[in-house]
Amino acid sequence: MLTIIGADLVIGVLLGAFSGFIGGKFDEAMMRITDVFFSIPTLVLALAVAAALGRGLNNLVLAIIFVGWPGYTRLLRGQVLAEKERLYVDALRGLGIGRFRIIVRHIIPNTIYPVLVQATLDMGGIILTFAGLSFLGFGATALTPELGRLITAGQTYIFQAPWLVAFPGLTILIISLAFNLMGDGIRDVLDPRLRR
Amino acid sequence: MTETVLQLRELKKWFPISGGVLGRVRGYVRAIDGVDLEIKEGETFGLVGESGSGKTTVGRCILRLIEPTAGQIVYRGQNITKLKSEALRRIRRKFGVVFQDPYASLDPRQTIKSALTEPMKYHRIVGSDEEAVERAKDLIKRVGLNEDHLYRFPHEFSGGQRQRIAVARALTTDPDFIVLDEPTSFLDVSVQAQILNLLSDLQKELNLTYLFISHNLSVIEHMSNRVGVMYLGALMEAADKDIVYRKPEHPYTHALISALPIPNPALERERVVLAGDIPSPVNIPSGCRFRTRCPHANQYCTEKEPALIERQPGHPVSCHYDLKLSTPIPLAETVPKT
Amino acid sequence: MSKNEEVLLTVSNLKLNFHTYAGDVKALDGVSFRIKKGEALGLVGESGCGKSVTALAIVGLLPENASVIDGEIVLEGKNIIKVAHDEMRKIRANRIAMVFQDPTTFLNPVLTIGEQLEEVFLLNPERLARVATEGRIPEGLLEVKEEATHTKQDAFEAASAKLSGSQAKKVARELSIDVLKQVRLPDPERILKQYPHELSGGMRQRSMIAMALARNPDLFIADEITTALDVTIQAQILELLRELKKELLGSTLLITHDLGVVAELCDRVAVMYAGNIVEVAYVNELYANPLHPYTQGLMRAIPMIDRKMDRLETIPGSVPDLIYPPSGCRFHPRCPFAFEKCKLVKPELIDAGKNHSVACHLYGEGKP
Repeated sequence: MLTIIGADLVIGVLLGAFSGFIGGKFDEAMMRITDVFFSIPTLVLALAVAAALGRGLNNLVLAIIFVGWPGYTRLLRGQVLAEKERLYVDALRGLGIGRFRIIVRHIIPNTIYPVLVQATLDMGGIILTFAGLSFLGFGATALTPELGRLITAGQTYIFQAPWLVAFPGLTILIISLAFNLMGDGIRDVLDPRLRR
Repeated sequence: MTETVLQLRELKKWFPISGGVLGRVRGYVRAIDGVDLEIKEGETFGLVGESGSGKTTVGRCILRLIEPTAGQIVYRGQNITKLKSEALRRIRRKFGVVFQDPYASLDPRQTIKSALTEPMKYHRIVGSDEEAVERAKDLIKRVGLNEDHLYRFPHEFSGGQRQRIAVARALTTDPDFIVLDEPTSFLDVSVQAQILNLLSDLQKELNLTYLFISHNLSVIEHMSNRVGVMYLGALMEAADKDIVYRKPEHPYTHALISALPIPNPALERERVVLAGDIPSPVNIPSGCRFRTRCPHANQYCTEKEPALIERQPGHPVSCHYDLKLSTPIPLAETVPKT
Repeated sequence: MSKNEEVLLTVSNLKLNFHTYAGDVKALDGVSFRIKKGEALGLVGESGCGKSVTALAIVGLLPENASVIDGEIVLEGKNIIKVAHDEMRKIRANRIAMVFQDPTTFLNPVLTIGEQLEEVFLLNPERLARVATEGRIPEGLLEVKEEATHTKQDAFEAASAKLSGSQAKKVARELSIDVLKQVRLPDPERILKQYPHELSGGMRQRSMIAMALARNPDLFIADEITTALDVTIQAQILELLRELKKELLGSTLLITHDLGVVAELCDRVAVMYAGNIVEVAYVNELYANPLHPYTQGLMRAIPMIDRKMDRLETIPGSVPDLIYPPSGCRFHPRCPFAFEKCKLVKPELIDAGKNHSVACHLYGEGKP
């Protein structure tokens, strides 16, 4: 779970920041690419990629990573577009500090909160996607204990032993909820202005 | 002969305005429309003007925060207008800048120590972290703050203190030329006095050259050696401060100086009040751009734009006529008190 | 008493706090001054000194977290702090007009200037009716005082008793054009149809002044109205105010931090610091002979064009936190002349001769 989010964040944030700050043709290209991603529903796309890559847990992880980064790119780019107009950025440029350093050491730290919050909210969704695709048969093989797989295995017995499905389902629900709440908390904690 | 630190030749910056369904360029905001000026070593050149004059844009062009549309910026004989990357970085080390808004010019997530040491380390002016911190301590004390202020964040300081930090930061790379863009406009009167005194002291101590941009005529008069008056993107007049304030030759300068309310109720003087509003830089009047408000304008002024001509050495004026204007502000000593 | 000495408004010992999360801000600490009829009083001080708050108290537009702890504001016999909401609105409609620094927040962006001006006139139907029946706009139309009704509804009803709705509108339009001419706006008919964002800063400021004039106020309060303007436009507005002062405006309370503006327009000046009035005098006297150390410091800190100054003198320290203000005289921590008494006892305004009052222990009895 964390690998997925982590990877998506890294890719998304870097692409978003550079795209937003530098603009120009790179930015244009990025926007068109992300547009393509947005035009296809996530689950379907993940399904397609997972199918293409074949079975296996790792492939499933890669598929979900592949599908998840454009959201962060767009979100961050929006933030960066606003941030780069700020006066301290001019001050840094006037001092001769290069763009790369400005983006990495100044812009990203100042714009990353909404993205982090979004990431924690997405955790819940990722789990569901993961569980969903596992349920459908991708990813984990019958032997690995994964929540979605548990539901698949248990669904045959749903009327005799409903708890085989209920408990994994409930677990997914609770984990998603927990991450959502964490997202709220992170927003409150990380804003330096509130930290005064 | 003192060296010329900075020279601007025919500097232009036009911002295109796009519009319409196809996003075609409809016109231009002629923010700077051909500016020539020269700043000598160790002096403070005051650049003054009202809204739309282009004075802030001049500062930003010099710093290359925006790219000039035409013309040249020459630093100590070197044309820096089109420099990029490494070469530009080297030049930027010699420039410092202090902006108007002390609340926005510092990265809110950076400690003061980091803000001061970052440029030093980036430009490799110092050999080690310790050296950088030592220099930062030195600078923070020089601008009148304490060492322990280094470990705090910008939001913990008042406006005046933040401007001091901004001045310290401007000095981190050992510059010899500093652009001051309305550095005291957001500050209270008493704090302003402290900052202006600090700037004067530093200038003498470090032999700095200043470009002081402001709309505040009193502050410009106090701080500058030479003054340039801008209107709608062009320079109307430039001269030694005393000449600009007491014997201006351009009617705009005359009106500007005489418009200033002076805190001396006993002072009698002739006031020129200009009619009309300042035109927009999108629609600059034909011929002389000042003609729509000039009390002396005639038909010729509508047709031909006056060239910037040096009437006396070091005193360029952009006006067709030699108007022999009166003194806008007599000196207090010469006026008897009631 | 000659007409010149008649007092229009008296503020006595006004004490006011703001309730905030961090504590109570003691914004006004016993403010007292008088405005005479026909005079222009300047209220001068740096940001945070309480000058705007004082004006808002007079007009009755204080924010919710403000409470008046003590003191009175007396307008021709009535203490207007204690009046009911409705009556205060009437007073605001008729007697006091306030104009602010930022015309964009003052003017309604979705109404044309004409609509906003006419609204002011339509709220005074008796005057409209009289003007209509007389068949012309009388000279000095702005001289007559009437009680305005509360709402537009009442206004229309009253007006319709004497005038039809469209007649009232026509008269209101004529009066609007007239008042726009009085603020020297060119082409008033066209301006009536324009929206605020279509006008320049100077023109918006004039429109605001026009709206204030339309009410024919006894007291005109101007809060930093030239601060946001370019120098040459500021000169135009100052010129306008000077002419209007002679012609029409009753008394003026001019609030600013600019000592130059005060010197141009005001008859008397009150200097404020940290919620107190520290000095009051006629303008020539104050500039020639400032008594309070803060006033002296202020004048030496400002670069002045008409004299040669090598270094600006600074007032050490900074403006105090009004949640925990200094004891005794609020200026004592920064005052070069402070002595023991200054920390203990707050100085009251005393007469130092020549109609010049100062709140400082250096003057009066018990001086060191």
